Amino acid sequence: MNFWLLCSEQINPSCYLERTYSLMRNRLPPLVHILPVYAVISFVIYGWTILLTLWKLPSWLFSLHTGEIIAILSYSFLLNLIESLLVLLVLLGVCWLLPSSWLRNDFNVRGVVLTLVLFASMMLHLGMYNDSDLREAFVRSLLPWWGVTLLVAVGLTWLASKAAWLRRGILELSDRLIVFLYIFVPLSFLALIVVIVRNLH
Amino acid sequence: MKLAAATSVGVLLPHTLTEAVARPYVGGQGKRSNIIILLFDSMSARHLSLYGYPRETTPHLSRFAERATVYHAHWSAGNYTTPGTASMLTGLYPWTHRALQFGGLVRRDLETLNIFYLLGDNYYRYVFSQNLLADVLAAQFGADVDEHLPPTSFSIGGNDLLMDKLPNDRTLSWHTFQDFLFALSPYLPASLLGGYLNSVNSLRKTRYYRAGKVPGHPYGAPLLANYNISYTNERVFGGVAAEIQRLSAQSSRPYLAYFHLYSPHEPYKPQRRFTSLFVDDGYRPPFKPHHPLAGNFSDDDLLHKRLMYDQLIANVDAEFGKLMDVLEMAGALKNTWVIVTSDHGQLFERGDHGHGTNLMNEGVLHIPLLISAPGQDKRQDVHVPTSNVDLLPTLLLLTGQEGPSGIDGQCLPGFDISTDSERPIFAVQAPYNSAFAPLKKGSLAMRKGAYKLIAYLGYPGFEQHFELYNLEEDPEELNDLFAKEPAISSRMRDEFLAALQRANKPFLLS
Repeated sequence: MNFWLLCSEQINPSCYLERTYSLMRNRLPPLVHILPVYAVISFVIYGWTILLTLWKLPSWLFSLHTGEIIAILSYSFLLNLIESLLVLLVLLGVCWLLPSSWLRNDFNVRGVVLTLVLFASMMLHLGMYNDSDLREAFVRSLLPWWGVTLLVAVGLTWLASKAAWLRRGILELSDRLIVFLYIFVPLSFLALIVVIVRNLH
Repeated sequence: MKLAAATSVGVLLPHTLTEAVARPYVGGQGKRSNIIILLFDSMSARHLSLYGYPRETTPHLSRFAERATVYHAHWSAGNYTTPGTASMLTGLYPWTHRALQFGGLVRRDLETLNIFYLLGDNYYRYVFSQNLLADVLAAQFGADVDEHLPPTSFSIGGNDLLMDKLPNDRTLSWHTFQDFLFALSPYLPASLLGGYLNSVNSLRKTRYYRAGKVPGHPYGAPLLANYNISYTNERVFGGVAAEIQRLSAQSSRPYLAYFHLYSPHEPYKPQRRFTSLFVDDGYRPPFKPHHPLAGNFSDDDLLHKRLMYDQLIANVDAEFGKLMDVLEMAGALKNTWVIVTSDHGQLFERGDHGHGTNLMNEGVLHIPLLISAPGQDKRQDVHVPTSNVDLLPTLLLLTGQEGPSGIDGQCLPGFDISTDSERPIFAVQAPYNSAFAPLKKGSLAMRKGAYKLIAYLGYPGFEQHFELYNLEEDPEELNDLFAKEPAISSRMRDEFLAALQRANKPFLLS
């Protein structure tokens, strides 16, 4: 409260920016911690799409031209970029809201754990109910499924902060996955160009 | 009333195929009249009382037939939506247009061979398809379509499709989103987050409709199961009626309106008042032994599915009757050709259910075709074998336009004196082949006169297997004549193989 009052009294726009930046810096993790988490998010999201592309490719090759397949992949990678940024934003939002000691101070480990639990839960849920006859059961299972997921996430986050070997493993893994960003991000911007060109009138 | 099983044999083809071709009513030929194509997905002619089915499934279609030309031996060129619809819209057999796979597209160099392009700007060309596979084809011809409604236009809830959100890429949007990124079970979505959220969202939204809580729908509202879109036939047919009246009111140019309606496609969810029909009526179809290339459905299961299907056909027929009454009363059918047909049939025999399977029996190939000319007041019947590739050249003739060269279809018997009633007609099911390579694996059928040859090619244990039936004497295909009639078998097989070789020629590497 004092901070905003102080700014308004001074009527100095640069003060607002400075204070806002300072607040962000205090509530959000440093970039060096965000990057490996984003690498893990991207790796899972893009990896899942690429895996299913490999499964789908033979049937596409049966009926579609190369340009059409590239167009489909362009839409896919662009969506992957949006999804990965969205997940990161949500994580940062949670980080902003929670006390620093819960997530922000150990973001590069806890963020990775949360990401992996979130995605593993989705994959498992989709896989276990992957039958047209189980659609109703899928909807009914939503609440308990995500309840259990939350418990697992909290448990693993706690474990990761306690077990040194797990912590080390997560840090090494997320660090190594950064290299994939050099592929995924440029690929997505190429995809963006393809999508824009295709939708120009 | 108890119906004996034997009644179905022989009544489906009440006249001999060698009967002289009746001359259909051709009033309005050459004039620019409106054209309405009403296509009911998966409607097998073998289940319509109009064509002699013992269950009274289609009293309203029979009423409509009293002022239409009724084709009694009309085939779809494919045994599921993609090849069947593509053939109808292009006048080409699947081995030529090559839309062979689920969601397949017509050969890009043949794209302009479609009814919308060929009718030209003189017509206002309108498409509404509930079936997404047919919508993909309509999107491929999108440059030649003036108005293309989204498939969900008259649905009551469910999946939010992106089909119409990308006008430049509507053809690929099904492949990208519905079939890949946001695929629903039993497929995994390629977009982990978006696909998961879409599954949750769409399944939650249609929960109410699926649970049998829609008034008058004890089994739940009808559903496009692969995409989780709920609809009711009352709403869809009401929408169609409103659209036709709107099109009729705009007088600048005549219109071609193509309505591809999903029912009676499975899952079979008739309205309550049809669910008591045919129950315990004693009807049992003739026994047909399981086919080695068929599915694994029990006879009891097939009997139950057949009952539900017949009830849904009666439901669709009633809606069709209401639609025609509304349009008649509104005067919206003046100067209008009305064509009723299907894209393929449905099988309930030999251990197989549905369509798009390996079997090419009459249940899945024999489809209805009724053409009512403007002002027609009497019925005409045509018993000569015809194919849905014939519709395009016929429509061009009726609208006074030149037919393109190189298409497989010819004008329907009676509309053109040059019609060859002894030509062979074909049906192709070959989803296991590349669209860009010769056909080596699949189920194909050839009809010539009374005889029908089925060829199973490239299946394990069925590398080159043939069956031959005389549909005039054996309409239920119970007696395979291939080994018993060597002379006819040999002649039919040679003719078929020669046709296949011709079709494959453009795809052979030089």
